[in-house]
Amino acid sequence: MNCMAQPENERKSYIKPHSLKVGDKVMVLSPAGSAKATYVDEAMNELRAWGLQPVLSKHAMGAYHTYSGTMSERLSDIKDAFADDSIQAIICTRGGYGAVHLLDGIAAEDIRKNPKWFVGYSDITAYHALSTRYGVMSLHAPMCEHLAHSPQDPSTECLRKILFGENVEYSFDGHEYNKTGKVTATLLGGNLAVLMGLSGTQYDFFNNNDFILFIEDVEETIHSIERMLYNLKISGKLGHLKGLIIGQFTGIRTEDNTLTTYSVIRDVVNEYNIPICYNFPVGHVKKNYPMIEGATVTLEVKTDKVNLKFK
Amino acid sequence: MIRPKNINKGDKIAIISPASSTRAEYVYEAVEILKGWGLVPVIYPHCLTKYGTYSATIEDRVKDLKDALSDDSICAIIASRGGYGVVQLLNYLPDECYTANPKWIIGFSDISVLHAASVTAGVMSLHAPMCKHLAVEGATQYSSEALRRVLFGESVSYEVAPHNYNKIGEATAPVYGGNLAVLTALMGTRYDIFRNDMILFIEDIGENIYRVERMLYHLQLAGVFEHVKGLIVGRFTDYKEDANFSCMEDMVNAFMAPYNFPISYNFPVGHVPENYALIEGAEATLTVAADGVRLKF
Repeated sequence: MNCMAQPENERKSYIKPHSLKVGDKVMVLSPAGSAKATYVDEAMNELRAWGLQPVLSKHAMGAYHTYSGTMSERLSDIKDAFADDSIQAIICTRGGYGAVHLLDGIAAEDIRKNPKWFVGYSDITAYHALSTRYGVMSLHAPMCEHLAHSPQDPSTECLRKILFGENVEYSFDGHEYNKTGKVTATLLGGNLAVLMGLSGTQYDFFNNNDFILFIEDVEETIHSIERMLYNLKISGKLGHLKGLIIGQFTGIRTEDNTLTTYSVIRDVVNEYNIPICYNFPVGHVKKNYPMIEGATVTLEVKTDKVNLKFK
Repeated sequence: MIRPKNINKGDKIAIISPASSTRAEYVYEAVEILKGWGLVPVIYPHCLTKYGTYSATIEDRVKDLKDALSDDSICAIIASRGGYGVVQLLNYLPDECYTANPKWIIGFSDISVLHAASVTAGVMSLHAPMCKHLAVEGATQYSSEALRRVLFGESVSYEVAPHNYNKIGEATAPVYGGNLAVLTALMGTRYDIFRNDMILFIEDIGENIYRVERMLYHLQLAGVFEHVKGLIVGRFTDYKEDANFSCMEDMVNAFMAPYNFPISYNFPVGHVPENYALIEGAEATLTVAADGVRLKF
């Protein structure tokens, strides 16, 4: 077995799943941690308000230790959702931990035969890496808890727009560490720890060159964040990026209060002459704007303003 | 794989702090023990300094390490402690730094990064206790004594008690391993040690069970267990039980169910007083039997 990524991982264009229309059925499932009915029920009401028909997968509300189900139960939920022609999109209830269990059980044809939007973030980043590996765009975006608590906010509204085929464009304030520039390239990224847990495997999308990376993380130490970035530096992967979007790093612990996560990140990445923006609204926060993995985007970083436009 | 030459009485040993800052008294007490072994310890300029959580800036830590590696009169290098920071130095240390004048590099935890760099360059390295251990446990403690024996060229063979989860069998292969979080963070780089056929040993501290499981999945998805001839599960400390598993060994045992290579649990390596010196890159035979485990270099 070849430990490194396969050549087809270097694809330049990704299949875009078809857009939703009113009346479409979407599957709500739990590929990792077990979910709570309170927010899943409310999220399903929100999806109904969009004109969709949400249905729960067989084990979406199950509980098995910290998981929604055994590995085979969680895997069959995903495979069933893709195989069912009446299901037009898939949205995760939550992340947690466990998506990595399922990767080798999902084949390229499972998702390429009938590509559909797969919505989630955090631990669901592992699924996005798989989808990237097989050349299908995927949707790093808020999940059920967010939809339940913030049904009208801009992150939710952008998710709805993308699912229904509208173009989105985000503009935000600048940050003092930003490196200015403008670039058009493929967008890939997600939870840094989850991505680094796939380095050197066939799901390591850093073997694609020339993309714009976005990263976020939660409840890591500042040193483990730095260590992960050093992996990307030492392996030359940072040097191949076209742009870098630093999202939200929440609950980060440090023994040295003179350091901030962003100052540590800047020290590692500042030598690269690419557009870099900090404090981008993606992560374990309310302002968690949907990012289309595999989409071509234009990132423009100015000192006072950042713009991300999806083609 | 080059084996650094054995050290002799009267030889100089460098003490450096390539990662976090250390407490001076540990170093001074370790100096006395190293002197007691007949060595001449040399405390490097940035060994006892402090810069944030680190001993010194990246540049100063690189300088100490490079100076110690290149100095012909230095016969071994012992880290005062681990902590965090060795990974910052790698890009400044080309392979020739390790191969020009091969010598034992001694340490564990974050020092696993240096071992990975040394064995990648083709020089064996010594996963073993550091200054705090020597200071606290003393010269005659078994693990301290094992370190001394390896340094002076005596052969070592460890006998370990049986464990319920052990998988019986025997394997002979080079030994590689160390701190699991540190080593998995080098996967996909040129310092990835997991591509070798090996007897793998792992230990960690302060990592919760699901995080260690995620690291094992990382290895599995990268095909690493196809290269593993035997597995030594060292000590995992400072973690909490979770709803899935009551202890780390339960998780590892469940994870390893599909594999048939010999496995030894509760092996004395890790952030514990019983932390046996293991030679990275050296061939060893791991024998896991019903009545006990032997690792013979």
